[in-house]
Amino acid sequence: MILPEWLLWSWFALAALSTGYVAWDNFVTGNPEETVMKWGWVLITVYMGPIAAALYVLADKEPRPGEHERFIRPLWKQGIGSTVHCIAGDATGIVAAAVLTSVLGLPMGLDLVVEYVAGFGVGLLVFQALFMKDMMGGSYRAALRGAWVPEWLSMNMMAAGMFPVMIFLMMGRDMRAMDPLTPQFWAVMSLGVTVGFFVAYPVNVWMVAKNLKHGLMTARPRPAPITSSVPRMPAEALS
Amino acid sequence: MITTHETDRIDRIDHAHEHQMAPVVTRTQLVVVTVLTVLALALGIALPASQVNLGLSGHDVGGLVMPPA
Repeated sequence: MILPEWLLWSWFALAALSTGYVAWDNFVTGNPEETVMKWGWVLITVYMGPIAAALYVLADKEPRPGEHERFIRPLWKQGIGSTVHCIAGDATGIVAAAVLTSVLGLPMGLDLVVEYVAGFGVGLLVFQALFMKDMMGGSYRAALRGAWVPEWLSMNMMAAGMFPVMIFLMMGRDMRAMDPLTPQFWAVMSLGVTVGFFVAYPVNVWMVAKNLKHGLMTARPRPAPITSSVPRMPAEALS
Repeated sequence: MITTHETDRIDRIDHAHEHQMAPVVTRTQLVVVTVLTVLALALGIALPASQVNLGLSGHDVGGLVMPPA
């Protein structure tokens, strides 16, 4: 069955609305999340649309002021955060590589290899090591050393979910989906990332439980240090 | 006197401290999970690849819906 294009455009419209909401809630309303995760949520919502927006509300959006720390504590939510962080980088690398290989006219087999390398590269070098280095001691090299195994495991599972979707839908259903100028291409990417997300989720939960990866975090602005402009009371006045 | 820059640095160090964690996993567990993920990836490519021709590119089919027989 080939989906009608109006259905694909409807999905894209929903994804745009969802992305706008998640971006607004993170950057305007100021959900107390780390900046890297805010960007992770925005990217993942571009790819997964209302599914990601729903996950954001259920797992990371602070329900009431001051409750974020407690709200995000359950392991299933931490696993969602870990998966979002991983997939945001991996999917960005894969989609960028898919556009490039399509323009170059590479065969699907080679396309998959380039996409895997690009997904792993962007995920590891940018999202894991570069954006997280401050939390892993401050050194980019140390962050790379600590992040490559978790990133690799997660990438394997993400690709194990996403690649079959791409192969079956592009090569076995509608080959117009190999062209990034068609809505079919972006629909396949969207579905592939979504399937990849849920296939990668269990290993991310396991890695969070084993302290191999971080999940969601809370980042609140620190109160400014008190520089006491009120004159101190003389000790004798207190006695 | 602590400058703003120094305060920021201290905040970042404190923050890093909050998120640093010691893995609680054995080497065997890690190897088993790694093997499982590699197997999943191999199956995820091999099974669909046995059904379609991965040697084709978008340029080969020129806008066709289905690949040529």
